[in-house]
Amino acid sequence: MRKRVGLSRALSPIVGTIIFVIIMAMFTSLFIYMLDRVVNIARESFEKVREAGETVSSISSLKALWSFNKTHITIYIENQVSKTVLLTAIAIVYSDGSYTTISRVNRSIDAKIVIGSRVLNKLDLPLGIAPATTVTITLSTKSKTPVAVSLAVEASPIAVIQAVTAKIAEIAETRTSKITPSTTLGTTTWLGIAAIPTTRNAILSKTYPQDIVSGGMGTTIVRTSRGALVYTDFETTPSGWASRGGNWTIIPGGYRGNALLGEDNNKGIGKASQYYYNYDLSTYNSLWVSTKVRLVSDTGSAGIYMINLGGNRLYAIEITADGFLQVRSFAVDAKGWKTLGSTKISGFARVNWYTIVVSYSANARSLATFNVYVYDTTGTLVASLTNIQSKGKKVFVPAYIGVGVDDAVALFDDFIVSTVDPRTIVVANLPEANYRVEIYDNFGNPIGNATSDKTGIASVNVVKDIVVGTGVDGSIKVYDPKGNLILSYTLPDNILGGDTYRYVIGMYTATFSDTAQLSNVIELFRGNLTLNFTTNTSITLSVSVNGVQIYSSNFTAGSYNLVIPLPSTVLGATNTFDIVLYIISSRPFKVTVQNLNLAVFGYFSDFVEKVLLVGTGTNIYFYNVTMYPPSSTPSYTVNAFTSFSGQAAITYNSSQYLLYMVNASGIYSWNPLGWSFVDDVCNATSVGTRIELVNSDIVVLPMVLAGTGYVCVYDLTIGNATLYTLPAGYIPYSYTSSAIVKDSVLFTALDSSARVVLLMFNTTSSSFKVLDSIPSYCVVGLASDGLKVYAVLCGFWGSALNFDNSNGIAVWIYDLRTSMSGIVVVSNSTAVKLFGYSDRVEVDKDQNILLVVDEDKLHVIDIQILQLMRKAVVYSV
Amino acid sequence: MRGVSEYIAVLIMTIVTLVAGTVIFLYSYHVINVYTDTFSSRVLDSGKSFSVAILASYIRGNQLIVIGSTGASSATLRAIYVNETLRTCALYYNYTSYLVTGSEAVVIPYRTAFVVICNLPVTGSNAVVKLVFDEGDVVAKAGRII
Repeated sequence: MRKRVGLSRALSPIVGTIIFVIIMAMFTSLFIYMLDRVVNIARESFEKVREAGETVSSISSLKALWSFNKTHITIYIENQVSKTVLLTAIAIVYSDGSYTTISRVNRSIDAKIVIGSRVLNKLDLPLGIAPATTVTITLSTKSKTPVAVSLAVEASPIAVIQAVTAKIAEIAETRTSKITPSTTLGTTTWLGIAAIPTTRNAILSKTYPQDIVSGGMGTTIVRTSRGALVYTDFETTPSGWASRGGNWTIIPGGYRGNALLGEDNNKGIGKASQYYYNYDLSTYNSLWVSTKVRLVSDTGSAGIYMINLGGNRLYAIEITADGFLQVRSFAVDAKGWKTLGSTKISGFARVNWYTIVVSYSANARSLATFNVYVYDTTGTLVASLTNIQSKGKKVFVPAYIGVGVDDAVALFDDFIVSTVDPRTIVVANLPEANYRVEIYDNFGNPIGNATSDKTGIASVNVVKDIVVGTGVDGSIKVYDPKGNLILSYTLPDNILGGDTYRYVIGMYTATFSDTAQLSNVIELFRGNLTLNFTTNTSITLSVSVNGVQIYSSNFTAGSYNLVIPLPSTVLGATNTFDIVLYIISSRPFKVTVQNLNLAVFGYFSDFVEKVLLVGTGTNIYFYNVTMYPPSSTPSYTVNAFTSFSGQAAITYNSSQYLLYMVNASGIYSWNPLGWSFVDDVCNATSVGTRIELVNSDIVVLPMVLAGTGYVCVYDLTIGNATLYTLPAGYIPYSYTSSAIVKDSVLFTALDSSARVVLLMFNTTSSSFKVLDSIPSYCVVGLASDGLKVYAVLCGFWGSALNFDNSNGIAVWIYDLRTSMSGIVVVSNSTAVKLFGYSDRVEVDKDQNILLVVDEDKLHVIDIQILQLMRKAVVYSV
Repeated sequence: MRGVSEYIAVLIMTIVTLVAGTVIFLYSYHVINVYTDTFSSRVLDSGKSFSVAILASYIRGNQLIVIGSTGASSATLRAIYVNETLRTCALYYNYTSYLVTGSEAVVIPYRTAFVVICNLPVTGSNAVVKLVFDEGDVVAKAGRII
């Protein structure tokens, strides 16, 4: 019994283990089986997803477009897929609701098929389209007008995607208006906000005629000349000044009264900061400039800065924190800064005020010479540099003159630009020698004194305070040789270095004043004061405007009609003109002012409008396009002195109101004073050159040098041009068109197969990107609204290779977000005449319209209609 | 009291355990097979309904017109619904017309363009049309052009 029990106890674990093993084996095999099935399903699913993805990719890479020429429809298919696709069916819907379907069951039908270079006369579906092959199929529509085309395509492996309902495209139509004069081959356009130069009369506060009768006889001083063009004592923010970089504020603590505090932030020209009189003074080849300066920081330099018209080159005459006087140039004698001369300032103390006086003479692209003197507050010369020269073709005549700081904080006072030496004031016609003349500022501080020579002339040195006092109410005192004060004359306006005065005895005088008011002035370029008067006796008439004497002459009894040009110094951004007539005579007089008028020519804010600039022939026309249709005649015309034959193009800076043009000589800028040279590295080397302004970069493209195409970028901030080679395989051509999207320039070029492609150059990253190919050999213009790119083709696409521009305008549209493209044919009953070598298409984003300048018409196309692209819809089955 | 023999007990327990395990195994195998077969066939079938593509669909007067094409395999059109309502429409392909009533199916050969025309008192500017094939449904939206 014990033995049996022992046996059974030994058997139980064995049997249990066997059962456990069997069951484990069964479920393990079940688990493996299940795993195998799941893996198979996953593989099948993956395959399906991949096929679906390939199909979507295939479909999006298959380009299909169509066009219509009244009797035939042409369908253009380009297989950009890496495998052969099968065209299995075509459906065409017509405007009357009828349709045509073509598939395998139609067998051979009459059609013209062009596959690469092979031409067939019958269409048999399915039709295999090899990779990188284009196929055009031209079919008769039996005089019906197609509105939609759909294609069914099989891509290998056969895959399926959801078919979408075909959109029925509408036919876009244009509104046209006549423009004169007619445009020519090579026309280039620009659309945007621009200032239209305008002539305007000021409103005077008095009515005329007005009588001016002399008062009693007496002794006085009369100013006979003034050399100052620009002056300010920085008591308040001066009008007509502008800055490039830096922080500029008026604060107390000037040499007299307030001062200008300048702090560099490296954002101006040459990574310095400039504050300057924003009026072109480049009409003067030689001038005197002076300012007082005191360095606040113990680093860097500060002084007088002179800027070229293009705003990218500098001359700087400065004192440095370590006690030197230096003359430097930027982007003139070297690519960056170059010190032309330097000398130690004797007894330099950084906290002291110093007066810098500069005399320069300059001939553009040749030689500029500077003579510089520095004085301390006692009027003692403490440093000088003479005959400092700048040479070469980058030399410029200073256009904008002011002050600047480089890595420094500094105070400025007493700024003046003058045609004469501002260090002295001359008083003439003193009765004899040894008459003493003293000049005082408005605080009563003596500025300088001198005694007359035997010719009765006293020259007073005022270098201590060239803009006397705070620029107002200075006085001149005259003492006889015995020291008796015989005249103390407080001037009605100001005393400036470089003035000349005349001491007059026993004269009759009278003063007459009026105020001329303008409004909305942005910048004035020219102006005339017209004065019509009669006098009953001989007089000397002086005319001053805003404290600047602009005219002085003698008249005998009679009637006169004067037209006195206003100097640039009283123009600028001035809205109010104080006109003063000062009459002096040896006899009592009566002067009758019959009429007084002040007319100015310049930019006004109410004449800043949306304009279409059209460069054609040898002119640039300003068309006001605030309303559509615009006036057929231009509002303003600029003589470009160059021919727009494809090798000249224009763009415009809407913030500075500067028109830019590129031609074979380089880049030029224009304002109503005329054209100014900017740069000659970027220039029009061939027909098809375009110019675009992207932020502070002027982009000229394409440049062709030694057979290689470039994009030339001229940085207005640093005045430097850089060439960027087009991507390998892409070459420029004579039908280049361009447009701007954000910080990029879009333009057309040719690829290695001579197909037109749309390229993008990003000015920030200086990189190129190829966007798409354009199904035309010729583009007359390119424009973008930031979302889409619109290219107007040279004509309406009639067949595979031929273009016919008599039936409408073909607009190729590229969507920047989806990279999809298509063509809309804009029909019009009248023939359009579009020319090559042009860039004459613009987008008005406000109105959502596309503008196309024809030979003698302006076509206005609603972009909303263009959204319904006439793109053949491709489906996979 | 005496129980069954220890051998018998072991034998019975062994049989019961093996039978129970086999039943559970076979049931699990069946469930896995059915589930994976169903899933697999759905994956394989996915997209079969798209072997027919609608190339255009629009309304002309009181006619709703649908233009489509079959793919590499034929498709059997069984019924046509317009705005969720079964309609009798004409089917045209290969120069032949057929009537699709919903009761009898029509086979459209492979790679063949076909046109469905439904005469309807359509007054709206849009209609939703569903073509019911044996292989699956295709839905399109038709807009009025005239």
